[in-house]
Amino acid sequence: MLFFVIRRVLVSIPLLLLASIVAFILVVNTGDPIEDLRTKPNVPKATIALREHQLGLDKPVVERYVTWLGKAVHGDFGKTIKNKPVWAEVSRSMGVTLRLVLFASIVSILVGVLIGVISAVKQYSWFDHGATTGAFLLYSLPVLAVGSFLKYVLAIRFNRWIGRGDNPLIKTIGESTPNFCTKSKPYNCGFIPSVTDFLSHAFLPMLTLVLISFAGYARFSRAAMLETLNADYVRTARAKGLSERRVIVKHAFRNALTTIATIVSLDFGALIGGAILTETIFEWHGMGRVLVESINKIDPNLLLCWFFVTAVAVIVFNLVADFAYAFLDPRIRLD
Amino acid sequence: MSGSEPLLKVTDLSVEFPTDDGVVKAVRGVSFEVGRHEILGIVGESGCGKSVTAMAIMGLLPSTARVTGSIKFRGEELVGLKPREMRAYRGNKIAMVFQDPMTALNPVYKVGSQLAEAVRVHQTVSRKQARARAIELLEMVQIPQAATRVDSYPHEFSGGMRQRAMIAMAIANSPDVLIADEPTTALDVTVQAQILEMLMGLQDQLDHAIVLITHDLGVVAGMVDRMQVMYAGQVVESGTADDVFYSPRMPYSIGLLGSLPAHAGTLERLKPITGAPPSLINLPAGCPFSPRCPIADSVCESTEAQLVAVNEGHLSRCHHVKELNEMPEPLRLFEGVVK
Amino acid sequence: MNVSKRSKVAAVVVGLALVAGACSSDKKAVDSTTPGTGATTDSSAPAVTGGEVIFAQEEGGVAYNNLTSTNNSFANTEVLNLLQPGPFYIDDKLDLVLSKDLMDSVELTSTSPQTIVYKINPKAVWSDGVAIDCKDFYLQYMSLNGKVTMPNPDFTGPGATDADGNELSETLPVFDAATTTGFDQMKSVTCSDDNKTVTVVYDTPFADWKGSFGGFVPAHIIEAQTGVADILAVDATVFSPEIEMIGEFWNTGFDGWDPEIALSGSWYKIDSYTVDESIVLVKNDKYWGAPANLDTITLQVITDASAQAAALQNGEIQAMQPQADPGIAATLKAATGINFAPASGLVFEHYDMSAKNPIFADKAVRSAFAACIDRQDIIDKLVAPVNPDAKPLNSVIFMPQQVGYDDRFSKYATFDVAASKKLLEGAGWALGDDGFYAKDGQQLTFKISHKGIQRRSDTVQNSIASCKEAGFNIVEDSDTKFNSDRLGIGDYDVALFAWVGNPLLSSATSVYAVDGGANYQAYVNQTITDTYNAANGELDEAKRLELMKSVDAGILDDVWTIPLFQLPEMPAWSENLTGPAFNGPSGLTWNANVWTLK
Repeated sequence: MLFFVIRRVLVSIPLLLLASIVAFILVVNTGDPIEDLRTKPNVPKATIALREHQLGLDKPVVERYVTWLGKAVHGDFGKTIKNKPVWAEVSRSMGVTLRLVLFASIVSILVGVLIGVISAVKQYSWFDHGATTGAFLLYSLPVLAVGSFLKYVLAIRFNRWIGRGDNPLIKTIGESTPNFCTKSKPYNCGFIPSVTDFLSHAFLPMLTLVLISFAGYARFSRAAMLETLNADYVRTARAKGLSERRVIVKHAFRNALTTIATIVSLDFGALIGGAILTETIFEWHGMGRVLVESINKIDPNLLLCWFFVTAVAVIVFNLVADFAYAFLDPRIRLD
Repeated sequence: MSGSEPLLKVTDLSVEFPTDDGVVKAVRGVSFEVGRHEILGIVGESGCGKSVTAMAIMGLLPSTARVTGSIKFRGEELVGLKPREMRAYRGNKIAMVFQDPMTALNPVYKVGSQLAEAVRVHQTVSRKQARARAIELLEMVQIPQAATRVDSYPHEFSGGMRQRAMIAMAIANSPDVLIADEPTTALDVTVQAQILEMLMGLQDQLDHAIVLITHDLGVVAGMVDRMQVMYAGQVVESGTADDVFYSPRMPYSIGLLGSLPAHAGTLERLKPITGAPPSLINLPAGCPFSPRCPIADSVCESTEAQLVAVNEGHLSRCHHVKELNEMPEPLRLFEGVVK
Repeated sequence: MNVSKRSKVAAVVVGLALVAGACSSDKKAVDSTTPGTGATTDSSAPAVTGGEVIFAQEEGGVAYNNLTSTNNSFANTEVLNLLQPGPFYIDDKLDLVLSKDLMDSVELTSTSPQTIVYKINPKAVWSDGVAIDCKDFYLQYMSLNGKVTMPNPDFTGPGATDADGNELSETLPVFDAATTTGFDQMKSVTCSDDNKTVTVVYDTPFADWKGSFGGFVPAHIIEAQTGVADILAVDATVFSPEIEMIGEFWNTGFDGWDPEIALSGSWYKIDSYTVDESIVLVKNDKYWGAPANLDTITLQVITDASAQAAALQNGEIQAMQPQADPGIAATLKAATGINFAPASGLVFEHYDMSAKNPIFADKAVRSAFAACIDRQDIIDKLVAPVNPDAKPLNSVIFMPQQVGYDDRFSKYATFDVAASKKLLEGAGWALGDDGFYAKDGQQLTFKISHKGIQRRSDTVQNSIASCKEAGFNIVEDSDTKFNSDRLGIGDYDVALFAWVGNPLLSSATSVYAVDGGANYQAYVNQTITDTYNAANGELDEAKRLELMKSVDAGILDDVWTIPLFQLPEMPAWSENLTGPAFNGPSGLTWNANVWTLK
């Protein structure tokens, strides 16, 4: 087991390196971070030289990469083009992303798996047809459309309907109301007001994420369950005289769980990268936003750090997926 | 096979599956009975309805299946029972061993806990007692070091051991009827013999009835008391093992025997039956075997034959029973057909 | 100022960019309020006082010091309008207006040498109670004069080059100054009268002197943070260990919005700051002038324009000025409870012809090109969906509503195929069988290059089609690296890009003067350069304005540059809110002191 982990980590290192080189090349070629400055007519040449020096733009690409890497392995991801420490920004954004996607993922996994299992057990029933069609529809709708629709109906219209058009109950922006808990309003900073405020903001984005992502889990679980429900050992379980619930839960679902857990672990790895569209639509300043902004602003260090963190998360959760699989299926051994 | 009431009595059992292409008539009017310490063999090609019959007895057919006729266990009617009521019999009074031990055990649970589960579902015992019973069962099916093997996972067992474990699971609640559906098909030949021997040994100990389902006449030879041959959902011949083996009175049985190496050994080569079984959706008007039968005539093609007694307890479904009776070497029937 | 992103230039201080402009054209929009910095209390003062407003920003302000090239941004300006004091502010007509709360007086006391005397209101204090005084002026002079340098560690010797083969400079500036304009012409800044009087003497005349100074950072904070006892004792033009410390803190020490450091000298002060999310401002209780009306103004970052629109409709925010977008404009027009006020912004698109391509040597060709561009049609398709009142821009120095603006270009750039053809034929070009003009075996063909954004591609395609009728064979050259790699070295036939305006008329000098730093097209007209320089040194405002008009007319008469249109802006605010007025350079918050809620 330990050997397996060590080996996987060792294999990951060249992978990470290679990936970081590719990322670096891409980043360097996305554009000139101080293009803006260069094309302003009255910026002193000396200032541009200073900025080039600060950002290392006057160095050859290889040297810039080596410098970046040397610092990155020591946990120093440098500064953004706006001089902010990159790691602080990325770790904060990771927190935001986690708050948003963790809960939403758990809900969508639970809902998705439940619907998938029921659909499989009641294959070709009205429930199955309804759930499959509904899931497929939601799955194929663009996030933007879902988000905008929910904003319009559940926020703008709903708030006006309940007479709170000026002081909306359901919020569409950010994870908290910026002028809610402030120095001058300490009474709003307690646990209950904070949570209430958070929920009023989190409701729509989480609902959006759940709506667009539960379908995937439902379809996947349905397929996995159909496979296990037709397995010989499920017939064996029935032949033992077990109750149908026990047959489904302990035998069919327990086996489907190995594949479901794997896909869930892999998904979690990708989630660290941020729910880019949902974060953008609802203005949550998470990892998705870091990616979008670092590309828009051509911020190499920020983009590299995003990339690095995401890559590490993917690798780690691949490992987690392997562990989950091995844990759930005794036939798999990690060595 | 005592004079008392049979343990399991199947009367005029029919099973139909409605599909988009039409109704599949999988089993048609099958009747048989089996008593304590008796072994009944059901033989036929795949698709002849023998497994469906078994599943009907177990109540494991999909809900779309239409079952008619009667299945009585110790005089209690099983057809039409609610799933909940059926569960009291399943795995308890009537147990089943399946064909492929590689897939029939749940890969994620230890063998012991799967055995214990079978015990606990029908008996009120503690976990500890159930585990002890699991070890005992493994010993009964001759798994060495049962006390350690009880904690093994199925994948750590060989195919033969897995089938033993399956059998152990089937006898966990000392059933009255054990249905073994192709119990040795997936195993290699040496292991097959051990398993069959063990099944018989266990029967001596436990005194249950066995319904042995197989496509392989070699398996039933020397093991079963009585057997019936099925074709296209019907019983086409039934009788004692000797009746069917030594004086078959149905061309299909004869064909099956011809494809048996032990029998064919006396001849030059194996004589397989040509052609394929008929579709169970669109059955031909006459005898379903007539397209493949060397002695079929116009009567066979138009009229379905009835099951008639050849001797005491020996039944055959053939228009030409009499001719077969008079034929000197009925087993050579198929030679002319071999090209 | 390529302007796919909005990078505008901060406040009053020193023109980074060119020509300012804002034509508030929508009827709904113009609800012009007097205010601005140091507004005298309005007699028709609002009945309701107090309340909270959230203003959405597409990008968050990141630093209190908006004068570093790293941090300089429009987003900072929108915050700093409410925090930092300055002697002049820019109103919605692009006039530089004296800030009477801060200044007792500002006078030009001598023209030779140019001398300005600033007298600071003795009551003016930072939010920590320390006086706003000459030290703050002196610090700004020190940081922006561009004379303080330190050795470049990468410089190995003469001729050393960087990775791209560009020569490395021997020294690097100590201050990461976004601009040095004006300050580099100052000879001295001296303090007197208990540091409440500032005397600035220029080496050479600088007519845009009103634009100098503003956006102050508190000098006493730098003293406290660096341990430099008296900033006035530090020579502002010579490298020293003290100035290096000051520079280091000035460059990065004001990043973020630490209320202890980012003091206020205006109506509001920082209550709290959440990185990338919001800045909450509350009334500055130390403000000595007329207090602002609203209790709290929060600037919340909402990157996505449609998210801003939804938030405004949902009552989560009360005002915004997102990037123009036809879809969102339509939504806002249709929405209830919202004041939608589209306007023409400071950013304007234009074609520049490169003097390096001999095909443009003949003015007839340049004029024919201008005549075959259908500016109104381009506007109808690209701008009108947001701002239906948009018109072609006909000046490169002035913006439409600015004093001095006049139509100096329509005579060249009114779409007229026949006129275009006539010009070409008059210059000896002949229409070939292929439908294109040619002269001396040379076809009338060239490329229009741009950065590869959709709006520019649409613009170029429109011109390709309209000029084809006039016998031009124009090819689109879309290149994502155009602005960064090619524009600066004049590697193009015709470039399509944008400049951003600023009310300081001198700021376009580098664009049009011979050998000017931003004169990428290598435009040469010595007379205009001389006139422009004279205008920049003319301290008589009336005379200067006339000179500037002739510069504008002269540049346009040469037809090397073709101004097209101003990009639209679309400020919007809740109908519950009164007071906002579009202001191109400063942003909507410039007069937030007079905003009131219903």
